Amino acid sequence: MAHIPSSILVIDIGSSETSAFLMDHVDNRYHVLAVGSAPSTPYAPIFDVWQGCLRAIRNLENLTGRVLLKADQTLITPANQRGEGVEKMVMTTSTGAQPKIMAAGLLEEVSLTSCRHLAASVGGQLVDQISLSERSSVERHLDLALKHRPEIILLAGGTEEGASRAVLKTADLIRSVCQLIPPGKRPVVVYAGNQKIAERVEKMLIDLTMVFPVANIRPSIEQENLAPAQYTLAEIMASIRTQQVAGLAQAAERSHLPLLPTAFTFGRTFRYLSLANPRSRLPVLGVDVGSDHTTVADALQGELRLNVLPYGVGYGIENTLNLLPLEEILRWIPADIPAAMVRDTLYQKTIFPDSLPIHEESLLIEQAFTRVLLQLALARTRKLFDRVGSSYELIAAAGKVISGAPSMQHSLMMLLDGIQPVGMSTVILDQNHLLAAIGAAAGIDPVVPVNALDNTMLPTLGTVVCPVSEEKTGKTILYGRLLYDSGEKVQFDVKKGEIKVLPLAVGETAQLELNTSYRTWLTPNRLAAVNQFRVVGGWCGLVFDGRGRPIDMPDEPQTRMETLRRWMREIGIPAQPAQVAQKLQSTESSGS
Amino acid sequence: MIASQTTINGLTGFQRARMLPIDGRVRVHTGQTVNPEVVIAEAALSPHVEVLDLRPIITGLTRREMQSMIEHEVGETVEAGDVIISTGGTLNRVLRATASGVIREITPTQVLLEVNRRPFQMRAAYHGDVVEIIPDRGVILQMRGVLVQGVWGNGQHASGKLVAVADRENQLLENDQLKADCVDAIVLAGRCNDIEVLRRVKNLPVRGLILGSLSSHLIPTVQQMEFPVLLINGFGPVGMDSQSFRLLRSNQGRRISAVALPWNRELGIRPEAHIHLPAEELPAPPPPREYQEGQLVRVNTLPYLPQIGQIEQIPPEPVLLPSGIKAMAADVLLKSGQRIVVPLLNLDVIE
Repeated sequence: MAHIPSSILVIDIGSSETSAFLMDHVDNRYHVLAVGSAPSTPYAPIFDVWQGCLRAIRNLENLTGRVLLKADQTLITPANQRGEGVEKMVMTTSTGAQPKIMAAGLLEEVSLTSCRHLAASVGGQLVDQISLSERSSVERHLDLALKHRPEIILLAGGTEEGASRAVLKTADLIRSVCQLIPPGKRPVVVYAGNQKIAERVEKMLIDLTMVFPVANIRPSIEQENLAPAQYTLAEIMASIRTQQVAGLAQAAERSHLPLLPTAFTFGRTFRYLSLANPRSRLPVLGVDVGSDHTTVADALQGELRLNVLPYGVGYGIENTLNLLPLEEILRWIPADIPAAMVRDTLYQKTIFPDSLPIHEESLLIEQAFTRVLLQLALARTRKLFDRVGSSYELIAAAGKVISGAPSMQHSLMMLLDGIQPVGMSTVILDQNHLLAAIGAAAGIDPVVPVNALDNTMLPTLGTVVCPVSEEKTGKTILYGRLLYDSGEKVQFDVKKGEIKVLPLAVGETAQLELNTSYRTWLTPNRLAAVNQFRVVGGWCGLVFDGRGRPIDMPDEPQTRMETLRRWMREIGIPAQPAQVAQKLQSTESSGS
Repeated sequence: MIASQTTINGLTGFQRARMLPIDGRVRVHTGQTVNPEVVIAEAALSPHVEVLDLRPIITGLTRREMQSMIEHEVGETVEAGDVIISTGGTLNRVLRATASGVIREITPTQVLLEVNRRPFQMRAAYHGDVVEIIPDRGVILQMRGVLVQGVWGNGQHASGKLVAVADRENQLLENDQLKADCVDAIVLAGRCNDIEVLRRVKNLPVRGLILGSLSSHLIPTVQQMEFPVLLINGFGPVGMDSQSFRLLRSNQGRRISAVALPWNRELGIRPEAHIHLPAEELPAPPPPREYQEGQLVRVNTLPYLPQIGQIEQIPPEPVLLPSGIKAMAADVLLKSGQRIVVPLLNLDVIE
């Protein structure tokens, strides 16, 4: 029988915050004991991420009473007989710049598409795409390579019984790229094409740079196999970050497993979760909204679609604002805040990404932005993976802007507006980036995700029921009965355009009987659905979102703001007037 | 929590790395005193590679077999017209360089020639002393004098005479303030929200603009400007913090470097203004400190941007803010006498 570690410490180094998670194996299960956090320290004035790690570990010591560090500040590992220290430590990071990736393949619709999927899983910035099927100039590719200096080249192409000559010709071009870049700065090559020529490709390039042959990401035209390449790419990506982020290389040496990107381990957790219910026909969805990027993990039956997008609620605001008109954000603000103040506030946040909203106006702006950001991230992910539908069995959300909201209702409202799921989903909140830590610990023992999910650090916001309906606003679209396990029954109906909440406490379950109106469906493909469900409660209860998909909002500003405020009240958020906006408007008019 | 710091100091010493984004050539030496305009390093940032096809000249040879035909090897510099490959014999066929450059690769089918382009020249940006050379990449400079750190820059830098056109830190920059004395100067003003004023600033022309704040809709405009636009406090109709404004204004007429580089926390680059003052050795900057009572701080976000105050107290537990968010915060007494509660994450300690 394999040795089961008695304790695992996971350290996640984010661009803003570093967290240390302590997991113990007791009674044949892993339990997350506590998480200690501290601001990350890759930047001025400290320039050493390990200092932030030490603060997070000390915080963890204070919370648990367990000694983890020696007097000289080194980690006690393995655990000693006095119960001090931990048996294993693993580390993840989301600090550092986007890796610059060059993708090379044969066909745009096949291998290059898979290369893009692969690059998206590490949030790579595609600086160029080489396809021998296009008539672009070799000189242009060489110029772009010299200009952008890619850190990674993904080379794919050729199914398992398919092309080899064209792949070798592409490898020849990559050889030229490597030749042009000085040694030590050359990109590493991940070869994920036809396996028959993997050795030849490696031989062609090995004298110039490191080559990582992995399983073919496109073994056949119809099949995509990203997982093996994803892991290798994640390791390479983390290794590149160790050269960029101050102190990360030394910190990573303490880890028992190779350093991995946080987004990768976040995705790994969802891959495991999607396997937990073999009969499920719906995917599980994870969203992690960070300062400089947003991660979307969508997994079904072990197949993971992972997308790390360069849009965030801090440094990543500017990328988002470059794509979206400000009006998209203004539409989601339930107060009369001038557009200039909204834009100024968001740009100020790009300078001080860790700052917090002091007054309600700043909060409304930040949360409106988050809604639009989620919409954008989901739309881009669906487009990238050519995926239709927005029904999920489980939705889990991480990121300070969501988990640190003033109330659970604020968090749920942002998710409903941003994701706009269809059908019935359970929504959980990842308050401390625990899901990514669980995914990291799964590298030590794969049962961790199964055990650790049952945790108070992952509060269930509730079950949400979100029909699609062609009925007019105000018409009843759902009729139902909720039978509590206590025997109590509640009859209710839901009108188009309203949010209705029924009380159902955390951990409480009930039987839901539901009927839809003639032009209302519980699935996006408008199929008839079972009308009896077992539902689980949460901090926000059982929530019926009758606003339709996409959410139908009035165009007239005053009516729209009133509608937004009504939805906030309906889900349980008290709305307040916007005072600061008025104050600033008067400053603007008198200041000159 | 380690305090985020901003320097607003009338006489301080500091070091800055000035680095090329890629390898190049360093043109200064340790101990050299440089002014902001001195070129300290250069590199080819927009290289071009020409692929010279060998197949019309030779075919079917291995690299070893063609060795005797190579007139210029990989790594050698050639001028336009130079023979790179010559087959020899009576029917001598040659491959000539199409431009001046460096030969980067020779294979049996092609020659890669990296064509010489006008290199990017990196200037010192500061008046200081070179204290260290980072081979192929740049230098570490040591500066002394006034340092006012900002928060945003449009990527440019320049130096010139400092001319203040505002009397108050929140004063809006207007056309009638831009007079003849602003020509070729670094102009100091409170805030700007008008594209027409920016056009006038550009047309004067000025050498640079230091503002407290800028309306964010003007970001695309100032990013196109070829002179530095340095924001001390950020975006919106808030103007400049009183401490920075007073210090800069009191140095009117002096030569100032406006280094409006984008804030890069990883590389330790920050937009800032520096006035060189002769001074003896100055103490090293203070080590990182926690937020503490008594510290002078600047608020970085609305609704108190860009006010300056003093930390009176830091409650040991997270505080409920008016937004409903709970956070570690400080009670701050503003210079106006108002007492406010601000999350620590929204504060910079002033050094």
